Amino acid sequence: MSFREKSAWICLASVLLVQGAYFIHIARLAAGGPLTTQAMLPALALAILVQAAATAVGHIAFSRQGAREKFDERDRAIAAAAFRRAYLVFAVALFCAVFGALEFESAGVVVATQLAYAAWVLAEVVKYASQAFDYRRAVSGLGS
Amino acid sequence: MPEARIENAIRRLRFEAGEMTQAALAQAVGVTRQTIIAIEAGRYAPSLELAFRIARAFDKPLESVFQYRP
Repeated sequence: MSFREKSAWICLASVLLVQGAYFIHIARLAAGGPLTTQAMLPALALAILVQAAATAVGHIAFSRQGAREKFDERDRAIAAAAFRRAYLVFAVALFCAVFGALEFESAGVVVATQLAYAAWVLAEVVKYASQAFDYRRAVSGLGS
Repeated sequence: MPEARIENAIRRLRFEAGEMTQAALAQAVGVTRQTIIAIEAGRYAPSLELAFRIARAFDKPLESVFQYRP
C-alpha cells in the first residue's frame, strides 16, 4: 500500500471517528434542550483540534515512506476525481443545510451552523473515501 | 457506448528487458510503483507523455507498448 493510499485511509478514519463522536455529542446536547453557542463552540474546537492531531500522528508514523514517494500523475488524477465528487456532495448538502435552516428557523443559528458543518464533514468523508477506493481499485481491481 | 480499452505489453517488455522490476521502471519514468502496477493491469490509462516515457524506457515505439482497442 502506497503512502498516499495510507494517507487517504488515515484521513477517512480520523474524520469518521472524531466527527462522528462530535455529532453524537451534539445530538445528546440537543436532546437535553436547545443548543447554545456556549455548549457547541468548545466541542467544535475540540473536534477540529483532535482531528488535526490524529491525522498528524497517523502521517508521522508513515512519514519516512512518504518522503521517498513522488506525487505522480495518477495521484493527481485520483485527487482531482475525489475533489469533483466531494464538491458535488458539498454543494448538494449545503443547499439541504440552507433549506433545513430556513425550515427550522426557530431552532436558531446554532443548528444552521451545525447543518453547514455537517455538509463540510460529509464532503470530507466522500473525498477521502473516493481516494481510498480509487487507490484500492487500481491495485486490486475493486469495483472495476 | 462500450468503453475503449488501452492495452499494453509492459509485462512482456519488462521480461524481455532482463526481468526489469516494476520499481526500476517506475524510477526510470518518474512515477510510483503503484502507478506502474495500475497501468500494467489496465486499470489506469497513462497520459500521452508518460506513455512516451515508458516506450522510451524500453527503447520501443509507442505502438509496440500500447494498443488502442475501440
